[in-house]
Formats: sequence, structure tokens, C-alpha cells
Amino acid sequence: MAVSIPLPVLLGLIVGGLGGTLAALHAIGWSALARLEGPDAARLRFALDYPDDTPQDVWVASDGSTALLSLEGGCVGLVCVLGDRFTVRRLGARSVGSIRLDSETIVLAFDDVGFPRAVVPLAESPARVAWAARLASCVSPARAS
Amino acid sequence: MGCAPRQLRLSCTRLLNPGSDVPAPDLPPIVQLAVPFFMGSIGLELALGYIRGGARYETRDTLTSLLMGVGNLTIGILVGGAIYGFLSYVHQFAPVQLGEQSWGWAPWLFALCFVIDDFRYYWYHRIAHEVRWFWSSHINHHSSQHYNLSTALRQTWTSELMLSFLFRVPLVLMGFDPVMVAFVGGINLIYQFWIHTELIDRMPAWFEAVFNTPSHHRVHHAVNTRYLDANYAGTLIIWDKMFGSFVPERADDAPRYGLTTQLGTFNLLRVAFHELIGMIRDATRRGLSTRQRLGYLFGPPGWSHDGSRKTATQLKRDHVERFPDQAGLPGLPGPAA
Repeated sequence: MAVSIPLPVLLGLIVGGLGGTLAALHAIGWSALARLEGPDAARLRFALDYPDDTPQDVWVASDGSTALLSLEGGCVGLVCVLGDRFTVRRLGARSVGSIRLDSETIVLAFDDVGFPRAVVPLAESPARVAWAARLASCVSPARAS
Repeated sequence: MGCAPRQLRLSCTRLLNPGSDVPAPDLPPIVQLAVPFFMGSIGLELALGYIRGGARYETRDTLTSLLMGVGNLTIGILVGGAIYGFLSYVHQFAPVQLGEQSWGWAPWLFALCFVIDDFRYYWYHRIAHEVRWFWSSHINHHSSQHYNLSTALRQTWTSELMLSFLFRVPLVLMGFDPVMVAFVGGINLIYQFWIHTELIDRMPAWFEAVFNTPSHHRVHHAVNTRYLDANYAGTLIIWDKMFGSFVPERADDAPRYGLTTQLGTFNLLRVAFHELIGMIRDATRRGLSTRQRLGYLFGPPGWSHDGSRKTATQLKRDHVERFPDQAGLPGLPGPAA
């Protein structure tokens, strides 16, 4: 008769292994979020995904989690933290489903199942007005109306 | 990834092949048996990575990968019996039932089945990267920006839904018993586990020449333009060398992992279904011709009716335009005419 692992033992192995691995990762500090250490870091990260663009103005959140980059033609580059890595998008016309301005943040919703939402921690400031206007130009007309 | 329960397999065999009186050997559920090995290896890689560097994990990314693996295993168990039944049904139309021969379960036949299945895997895997229908499922395995042993377990939940099991039909029509086909497929899957690591730089040259290795598979998981759509091998890298898809890892172009458009979430359901939903949305848009709808379903990933997205071929062409001195290097097209 073939050797097999009883189901309760298999489940225990999976649950225990999974829990132990995650606990170890957290304990050694590998849950820490990545940080953009300034505009140059944001430019470099953006260029990895979009090497043909030349960003002009760059804004980086004080916590290093997010960056906005102004691109030619009114487009906006977005760099967002995802764990210890980043996710990058080039936002042009119709790229943004909707935009919501809260007192501390700009919340962008995308028609992208793999990246549904970005929260830009940009509080009330002159810079926020300019970036909000740029981002508003990327909102799909159907949603803006 | 999963196997049908043994009793169900035997019942299917007797039901669908009533003439068969050569019992199949009692093959162990090897993927299930490998679970302790998977978990132990992840712990070891994590510890070595922490102590001496060279391997990196992230908590939420690892949780996502491992839960995708658990989901894949569960779905495999749930639908494995039905797929086994289908393959057994097809198997009865094979001109020869190898399992009924006196040598039908000989070790050399397992070896032959393994090599043919590895060849089958190469083509399935290549198509899974070059046809969006299958990519919408396989993309899950590539969705982590990390490359470690947990990434090996980040497996699709929609493989059966997208009918990937049909790629096994040629083997059973050649006469290989579905039990044997499932068994060698399991061995292939276990082989591919250990190559998902950055801890091993290169294996001995003879090994690199014949087998899929961590170096070859890092290239496969990389999003660097020259590495896109390369190294589809399961166990034997010779298929890539035979069919022109082999690209060696370069010291001056370290692999970056994930997708050309990275995910922005760890939400398990979004990870599992994002491309499938995206594909359905694209194919059902208003105002498209039938040809355009088919393009979204069966064209290469990145294909769009209005040219607003780029396929791997277009990305490679753009790269060569930007760096003409790299034209014709492995993984990149020659200079534009």
C-alpha cells in the first residue's frame, strides 16, 4: 500500500508551516514597507517600468510610500509602495476611474482589478491643488461627468 | 497539482476500462508527500537568506503565495477526480493501452512518459505565456515581485477552468495510463520547486546544459525586456535550446521579477482572478468586431485592438530601438530592416 499523509497531519503541516513562516518573517523585520528616499529614487523606480518618459516635477510623500511625477502631455506617473517593493503606473487620459479628495489624502480608483485603488497621502497644500488638477485630467470622462 | 483519491481512481479505471486486468501499481501521492519538504525548504531558505543574504521574503507576499498554493491544492483535490475520469475516458480510444501490457508499468516506461510529459509541459507553458486565454490563469504564478521558494507555490486557481488539462490528452492517447501521466507530472512539479531560489547562482556546467536550473528559471520569471517569453522548460532545458526560446542569465542585467504591469494589491481574490476578469472585460467591450474580441481572448498578452498596450514582441522591438547595440543578443530581435 502506498505511503500517504493522513489529512489531519497534512492540514497541521500546512497551517503550522504557514503560521511559523509568517511569524518568523515578521519577527526578523521582513514586514517593513519600502520607502522612496527622495525624488531621485522615485525617478529611478519609475524609469525601470517606463524608460521612455522624462519626468519633470516629482513629489514624494513624507513617509516615502508614494510618489507623483509629472510627465509630458499632461500624464502623471504614480509610484506606490507594495510591501517591500513598488507598483508603478503611467496615468494618461481615462486611466483613473474616479478621484476623491479627503483632507489628508487623494484617493484614486482605477478600473484595474489588479490595482483597484491608490491612496496618495497629500494633505492640504498648494502642491496638492496642482497635483489634484493634473490627476483630474486623467479621469475617465464618463466618470467625471 | 492535486491527485484524485486512490479509490476514485481505481473505480474510474474499472468503470471505463472494464477489460483491464493488469492492476496499476499503488503509486504514492507524491505532491502531498512533498509538503513537509516544501515547508522545510522554505524555512531553510529564509534562515540562510537572513543569515548570509541572497534571498529575500516579505510577509504579505509570502502569505499570498502560500495561500495561492493551498487554494491550488484544494481545487486540485476537488476537481482532480473529474479530470481523471475525463482522461480515462479518452484513454480508452488509445490504439494501445500500455498499462495492460506485461511491461506496461516498467520503470523505463515511467522514464519515457516523464520525458514526453516534460516536452508536453514545455509547449503548454509556452502557450500559457503566448496566448492570453491560458496566460489569464498562469499569470498568477508570475505575480510576485519576489523570487523565492514560496513563489514556487504561488499557483493558479483557474487552470482547470481554462481547460489546461487538455494538454495531457496527447499522452493518454499515446497509451500512457492517466495514473502514470499524473504521477510523472507530480515529479515534474516537485522538480520545479527547488529552482525558485536566488540562493544558488549556477549549477555545474553539464547540469546547466541539460536541466532547468535556478539561473535559467530566474530568467523565466524576470520582467527585464530581454528575458520576456524565455526559458519555458519544466525539467529539461534542452527544449528551449531546440526551439529557440533559451536566454541565458547575464551578470550585467540582474533579473527583476513579477509582471510588466505589477499588481498593486495582496488581495487573494484579486491576485487569483485579475487577468481573467480583465480579459473578459476586454473581450466583451462594446463596439468591437468578432476578430478583435478573439484577439483579446487568444492573442498574445498585451495585444489590444487600438495599439494602446504592448506585447512582449513590441517591448523587445522598442528596447532594440533604444539600444541598437543590443540588437540580436539572446532574447532580443535583430536590427530593424
